[in-house]
Amino acid sequence: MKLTFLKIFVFLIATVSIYSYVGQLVPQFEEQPPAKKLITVATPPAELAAIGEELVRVKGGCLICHKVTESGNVRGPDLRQAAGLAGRRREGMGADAYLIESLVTPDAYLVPGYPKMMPSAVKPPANMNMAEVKAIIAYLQTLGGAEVSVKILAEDIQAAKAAGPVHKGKEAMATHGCIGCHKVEGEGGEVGPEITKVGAGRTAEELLKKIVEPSVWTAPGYAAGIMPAELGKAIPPGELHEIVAYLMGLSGKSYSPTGAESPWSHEGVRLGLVVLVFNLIMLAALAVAGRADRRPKAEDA
Amino acid sequence: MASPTDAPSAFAALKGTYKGVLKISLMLAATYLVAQSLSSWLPAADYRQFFGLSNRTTVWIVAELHLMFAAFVLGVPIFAVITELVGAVTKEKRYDDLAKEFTRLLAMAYTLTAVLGCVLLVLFVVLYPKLTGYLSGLFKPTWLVYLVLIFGEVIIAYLYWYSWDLLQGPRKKWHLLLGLLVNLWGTALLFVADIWVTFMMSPAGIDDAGKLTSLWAAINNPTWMPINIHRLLANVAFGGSIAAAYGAVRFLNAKTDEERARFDWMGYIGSFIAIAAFIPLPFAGYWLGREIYQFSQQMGVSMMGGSFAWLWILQAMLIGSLFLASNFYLWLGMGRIPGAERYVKFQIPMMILLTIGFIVWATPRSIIASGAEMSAMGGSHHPFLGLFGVMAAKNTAVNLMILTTFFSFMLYRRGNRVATVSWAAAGKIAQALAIAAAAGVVLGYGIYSYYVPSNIRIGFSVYQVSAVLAAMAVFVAIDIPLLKGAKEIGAIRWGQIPARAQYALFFLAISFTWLMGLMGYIRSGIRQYWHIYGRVADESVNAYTMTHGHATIIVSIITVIFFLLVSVVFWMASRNDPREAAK
Amino acid sequence: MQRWTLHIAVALWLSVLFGLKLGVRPPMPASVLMIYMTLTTIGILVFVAANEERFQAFLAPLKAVFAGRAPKAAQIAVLAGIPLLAGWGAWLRTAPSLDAPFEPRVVHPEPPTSFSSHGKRIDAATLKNPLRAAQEKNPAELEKLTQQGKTIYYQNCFFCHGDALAGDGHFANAFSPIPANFRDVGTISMLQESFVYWRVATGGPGLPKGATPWLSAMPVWQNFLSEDEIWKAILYIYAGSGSTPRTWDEEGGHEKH
Repeated sequence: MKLTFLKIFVFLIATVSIYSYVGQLVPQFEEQPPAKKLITVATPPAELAAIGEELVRVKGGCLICHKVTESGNVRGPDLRQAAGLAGRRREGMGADAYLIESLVTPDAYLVPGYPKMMPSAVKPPANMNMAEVKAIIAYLQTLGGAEVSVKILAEDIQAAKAAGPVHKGKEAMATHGCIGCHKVEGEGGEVGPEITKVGAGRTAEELLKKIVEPSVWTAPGYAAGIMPAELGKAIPPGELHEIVAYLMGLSGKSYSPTGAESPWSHEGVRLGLVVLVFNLIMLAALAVAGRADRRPKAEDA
Repeated sequence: MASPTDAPSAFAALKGTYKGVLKISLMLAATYLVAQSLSSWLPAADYRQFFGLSNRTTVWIVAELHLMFAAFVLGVPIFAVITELVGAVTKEKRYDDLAKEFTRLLAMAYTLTAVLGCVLLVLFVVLYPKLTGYLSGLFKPTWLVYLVLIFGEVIIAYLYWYSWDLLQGPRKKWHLLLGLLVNLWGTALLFVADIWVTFMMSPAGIDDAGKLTSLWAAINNPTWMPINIHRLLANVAFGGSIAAAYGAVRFLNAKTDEERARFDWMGYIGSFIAIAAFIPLPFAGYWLGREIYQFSQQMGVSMMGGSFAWLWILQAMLIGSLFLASNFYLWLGMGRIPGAERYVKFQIPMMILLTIGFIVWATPRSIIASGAEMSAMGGSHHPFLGLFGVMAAKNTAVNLMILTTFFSFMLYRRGNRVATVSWAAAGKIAQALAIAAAAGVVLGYGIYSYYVPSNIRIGFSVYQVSAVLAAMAVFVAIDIPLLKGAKEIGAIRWGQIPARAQYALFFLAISFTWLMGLMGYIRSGIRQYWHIYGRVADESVNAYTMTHGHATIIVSIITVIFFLLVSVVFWMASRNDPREAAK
Repeated sequence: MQRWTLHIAVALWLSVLFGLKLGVRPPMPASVLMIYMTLTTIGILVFVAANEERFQAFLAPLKAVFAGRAPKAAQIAVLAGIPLLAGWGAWLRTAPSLDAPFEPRVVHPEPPTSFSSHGKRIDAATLKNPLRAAQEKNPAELEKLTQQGKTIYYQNCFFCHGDALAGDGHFANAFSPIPANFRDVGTISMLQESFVYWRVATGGPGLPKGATPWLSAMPVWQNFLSEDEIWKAILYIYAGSGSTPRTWDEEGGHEKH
């Protein structure tokens, strides 16, 4: 008996080994997911411009004020002309240098007719590195129909920031504009209170509610009704939880950005109760059947 | 689990059933507590590792094992009930015994399936918290349905087993009804579980932000039904092959001729079920492939023509081996049938056909060649071998192999019988013509399809398949009246078969299992770096597609673990055999 | 007859080997020959083992050799021959060769979900030939566009893909892999036009990692041709090679559940 099992086991190992061996004979390569678009010194201009376009639309949030198509916002100048006019804006300044200046220190020169309102691209909320600034310029140049003339230098590229769930919350705060008004970890605007330690005195649920429904409370010393309600409502639930997890983490508290969405936590106990009741019913049925089972036997005796 | 050895009573049946319910309840409670405490105790993360092991590999192994056991417990009742029905209709006790033997394997396997399912659930919640949170939020109603179905399945299946001796004789019809319910419930269970799997492959019913717009659209996504059907058939084939392997083990361990005869017969029935369910599988697979192409051409191309193309060579090798092994088993089986030596002469042409079919099927589309060989061929395509590499040739080959195997089985069936009806000669000629016509249609369309564009060519495989199926139907339709009242040359000498035939049964079981592991990998792997294809990207370090060598090793490991677990089930089942206990 | 089973099996095996090695022109690559011979071996062995008498007859000479009952010459031939054959095989495997290493490659690399062409991002899944779509009801106009495509083809593609669109242009033999043969049923007729557009627009450099190490010399045509010109050329290569693009809509339409 043992010998039979041993023989079968050897046969099993031999068969699967042959299959695995054939698996080794076919070409072997790993396919990596498409790389997150990293800008390097060697990035070709067309690709650089494509990355720049993405940055203008998403991370930079430029289209909140500027336009790149006929329809669009006109709080700032039309970006389609930006590259074309760049060389003529300031005396003695080249087009590239002007574009870099206008992104890094926007207040240095204002296009006539527009107010002083643009935040620097290298500071939050956009918080880009120089390589990204140059990618945007490359995009602006293709947008204007010109040749891409910016060059990425080695020092423009900073090491990528560590990515993780906690940093996701940080990123989300930048994308959704929280940093525009609030200061977190030393970066951000002055309109609202600093919220680095907001988690110390509040629970995660309170924070969640405050973001979606800003009127629930207001920090002392600040006027109520300033914080826009539609901003919080626009944040997808997943990122909302990430933001709360990040803020709670800053105060040394933990909050699972995922646990709250699991139906198990809400309904597990209720389901458990149902199962328990079901078990009890089965037990009762069993007891009844047991009695019925014993009775005929008793009669036989 | 104890067999109903005591006097059959409703109370004993209920008691046994309740034990099953209690087991499931406790397991679910434990799962809930472990998953909840782990996810609140561990620091928040999108992905977690499993004690240094890759989370992907961990989930892969456990999920595949769970799937295999689930396939077994869903597949076996299907043919257990059919066998039981055959027994009830023919009033032959041995069929009823066989059906009970099949069901005996189930009870223990249920427990293992449930344990693996619970472990898998904990792993999902702990290792992939974010994705699991999203999916379970999306499909909350289906989870509840699933839970209800699990309890229903456990109750009915255990009742089916425990009431076997109770519901005999005039009460048999109630037992058969229970068996039918087991299968309906099991199929519903499978369909619900498939929702989650197929949604990840071909998401539907959600908007761009990932919010649910229509639950029904998400459930009835493009690949749901094809996978349901594909898995249902595969479960039967798989269950049959494992049951045959069980018969083979018992045969090899048997001490008496009576036992050998019994388990030889069980192995034969199991392998017959496996092969019968296996033959329509490629067609279900074809439907699935089409839906995948229709859903996303990119996914389709990366499945059939991209890097995964190489795995289809492996699949071809496996399926070819399955055909060879099943013919091998049938031919060896003919050795125990007096009179079957009349048909031995057909083995040479059949073997040649099978080997050539196998060769055509295994010819790669992309040929591995060195520089010198390439220049000799005048490019990367061989002008002659290239003809074998395309789907047209492979469809033709596999249809001919199916036809050959079918013919082999039909010869086996009439091994010891001599038709006595007056029209016997005419009938045989008609049968031969049917086979020849099907082969002609298959070959004809196979050759013709080289001359037409692809969208027309695709339709041809339908004609080829129809021709083969029609020939089979005609053959069987003639065969039944033809062999009515046939003269028997002698009784089949069950149990008189060389041991290597039993190894052919093991080979079938191992290859089916391995094939299932491989196909599961391809199905899951073609999502590449997506959790939910095109919607939710895999952002973990494991987002890459591993090398084929690595993947096949993992599939082998899964197969070995599966068989180790299965041998525990077999050992338990044979330990609880009342006949064994009586000794 | 039966007592010669082993000898017949060996003779059959050898004749298949030499038949394939010498009978197929151009010679088949070693990898394919290996597959074929493995399967032939399996086929012969399975056949022999599938019948008890046959199997015993097959084993008898072997048993005789290993039990020392066979003639001395046969014993020497087997006992010395098998190690020698194994040694020869080992030597063949390890002997250095001047051949370039193997280059496994996939025939239809998977297209990306989106790619960049003419400065735009293009979604591969929804891409359709705009010319074909616009002129569907107007065969004369489509014919005109196809003729323009022919001109474009002859000005740009003809040098490699050839006069007959068979991948045998003047430069074809300079490349490895050779240019695609559009008349082969396994090439464009198996593909949607969006796939072909992707291959033309992004050329060899646009191929994914899965297709490596692919040395396709196809230029990045979006740098030389406009979108319209590429689509016209595609119209022509389908019309000229007598194939139609693969579409999924028309087949699936009525079966969609």
